[in-house]
Amino acid sequence: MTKIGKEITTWVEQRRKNPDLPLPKTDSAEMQPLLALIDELEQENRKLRCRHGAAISYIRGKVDQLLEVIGTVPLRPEELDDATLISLDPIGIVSESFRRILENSRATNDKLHLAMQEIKGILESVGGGVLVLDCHKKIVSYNQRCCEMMGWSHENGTDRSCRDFICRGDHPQGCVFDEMMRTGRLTKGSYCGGDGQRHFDVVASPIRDSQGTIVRAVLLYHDITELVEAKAAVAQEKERLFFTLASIAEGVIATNRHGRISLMNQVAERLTGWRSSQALGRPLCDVLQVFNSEDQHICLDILGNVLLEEDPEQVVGSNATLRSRTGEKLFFAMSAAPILSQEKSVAGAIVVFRDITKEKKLEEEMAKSSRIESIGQLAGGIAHDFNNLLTAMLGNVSLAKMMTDCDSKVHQLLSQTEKASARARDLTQQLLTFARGGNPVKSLSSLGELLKESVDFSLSGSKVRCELTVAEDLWPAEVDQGQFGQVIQNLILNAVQAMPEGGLLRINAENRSLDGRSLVPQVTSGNYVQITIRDQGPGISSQDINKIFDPYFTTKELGQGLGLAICYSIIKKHQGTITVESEPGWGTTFYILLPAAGADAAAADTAPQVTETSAGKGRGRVLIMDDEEVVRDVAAEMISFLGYEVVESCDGEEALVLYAEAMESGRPFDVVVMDLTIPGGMGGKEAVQKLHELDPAARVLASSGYANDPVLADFSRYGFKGVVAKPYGVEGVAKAVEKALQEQEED
Amino acid sequence: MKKRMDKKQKNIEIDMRGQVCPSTMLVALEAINKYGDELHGGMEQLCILTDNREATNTIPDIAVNMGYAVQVDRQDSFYRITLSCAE
Repeated sequence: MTKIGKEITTWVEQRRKNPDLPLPKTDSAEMQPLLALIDELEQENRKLRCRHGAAISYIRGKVDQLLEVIGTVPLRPEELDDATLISLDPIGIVSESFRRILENSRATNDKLHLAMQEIKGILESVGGGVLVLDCHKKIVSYNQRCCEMMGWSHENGTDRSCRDFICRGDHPQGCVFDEMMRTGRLTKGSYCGGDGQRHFDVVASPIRDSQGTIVRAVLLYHDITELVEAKAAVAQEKERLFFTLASIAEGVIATNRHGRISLMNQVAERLTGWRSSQALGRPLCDVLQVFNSEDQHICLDILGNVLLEEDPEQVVGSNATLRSRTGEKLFFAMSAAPILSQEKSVAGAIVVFRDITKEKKLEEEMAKSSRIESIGQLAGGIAHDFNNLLTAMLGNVSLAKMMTDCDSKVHQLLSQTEKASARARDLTQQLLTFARGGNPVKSLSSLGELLKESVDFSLSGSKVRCELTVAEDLWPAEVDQGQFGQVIQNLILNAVQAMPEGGLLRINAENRSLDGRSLVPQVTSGNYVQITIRDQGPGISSQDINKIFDPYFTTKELGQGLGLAICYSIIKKHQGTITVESEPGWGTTFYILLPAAGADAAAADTAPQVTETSAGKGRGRVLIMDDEEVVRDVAAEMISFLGYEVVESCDGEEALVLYAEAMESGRPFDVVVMDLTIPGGMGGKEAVQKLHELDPAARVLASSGYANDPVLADFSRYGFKGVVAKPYGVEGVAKAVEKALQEQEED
Repeated sequence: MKKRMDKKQKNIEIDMRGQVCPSTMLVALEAINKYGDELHGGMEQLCILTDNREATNTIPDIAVNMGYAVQVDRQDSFYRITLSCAE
């Protein structure tokens, strides 16, 4: 190196240490430009270094700023030198991180947007009305359904209080929102809006911010008006069903499809003896205890075969019985029907049953009655024929008696025969009454006489003694003598049977005047004859005493149970009453009340037979009509004997012809005696009508072997003037004919 | 946060024990940037081991903002911050 070169190098080194060092002084003209250039470069280099330091400082500042943004501390100067800083490229790292953050934000925003769209879709498609409120009850948002439910217009807008739009100013008790705010939990409630016409279910759920504070609430409204109305209708229907079931006479039990009881009404409770609360859930078989005719317990498979039966009434045999929890047995009729679900499958069964014990007994009684009826018809026919025969016998005997001397032995024998015939007549009458009942053929009677006859007749040969007390002034009464006798005989027969070892029977007959205050039921005020029959038998238990007048009720092994029933029926038909008083061990007393005849009827038929009949005194013409020749003959004989002129006819047609001929010939009949029943021909009932067409003044007497023929009981209504009941003797016919003629004269 | 770990997933571990912020953060971010796509794809998961307590807040915060699932487990003398694909 040259000297100048060394000087320059030294200068440059010194200059680096001291930038103000002036240029070296050199004489070389050649060196001067070089030194000037070095000086220029030196100064430029200094500037550049200064700028580089500023750039690095800037970078460090920005790096620190970025580091702060991402949440960490700034770089410490000693941590990284400039070169490491540049090579590490923190700005690049952080910006790349920001890019990733932005990408994530964008993706999150996309998701959020999608989620918001989803929420919007859900809000509109959800069935209920959705209302979002802030924590001060300000409306944040709502869906279309909410608008429709609340009847809002879209102008309602948000940012207003729900009080203005839902509660309409009222602050309701039990506000769901308040409750939700208080508990901090999802809350359910109800709301009645639309002026009380609409019902809503409301669910309020809280929305919390990241700190867990409730900032909003979502209220979901469901319109349950139809449900509420349906529930009310169901409740109403249930109540109606309850009252219907409670008021019907049948027992009703409903079961589920497993045959277990789900419902039963009060009648079912009474018939089964089970309380509904105890029976519910039990198998039907446990509660409806059915026994077959062999008294074996049977379990009805209501849900199985029974429902397949075409006739559900035939679910049980007619003789099956139901046994209640208390052991009471009854006959019952039952029907069952399936309860079908909407899908037509069997959901259960309904069983309806009723107590037919009474009907069953009635049926049995009807069957008995029917048997009795046929016996009655037979008895009626026999009695009719019997009466005809008796008429012949009694007529002939009474005629024969009149033809003999009163003191003669023959007269006496004939009298006894007559009495026996009369007894036979009474028996026939009883036969008829027993068999057919029939309206009483009443006549004014002295009950004292009748009582005495019946007592004598009934007690003959028995160990029972009778004390009969009849009031002297006993009023007469209108009774059917045969039927009355039958009542007394039945009662006495019962008393005799009640005292097999003998005893005392007290019978009283007395007058009683009853006013409205009397304690005798079913009796109107007026005058009555009371007959009291008191025995010393064992009496009747209180259990039986109400049943003794029922047909077919008997405590006797061989009894028919008809005796007292007939008594009751007969007394009833006489407008009277029959009652009983008894106490076990103290005997039995029957009371009979019969209406007394009026004062004008005081002249009772105390002697029903004409005491004196004068042969040959009768004057006039009598036409006899009877199909039975024996009756006709004896009647003609008796009437002739009385002095009348008699013409016989065998039926209505012939009688009418004969009557017309007699009228034409100027010798009309004064009295006509007609048999009511002419088999195969015109009977008296029809003939009397036709006869009155011919001659309205014709006097016709009815005669019949059917002593209980209703025509006899109410003869005047049919156009007859009087009655000659078969069998009759001379006295009977004489009295009837004389009476008819008497009325003729009075007319 | 739940860590996803299936059998095919590759585990990348960066041990930064002894380092402090902000270098811990910068190194972690560099690694996240490097493996970011694989992490998002679920092919890899990144485990950062650090004994710098502050980093257990800062790194998870920024990683969550990037959309990763983060789990911090305390070990005996350091923390394991695991980044994986968010569900």
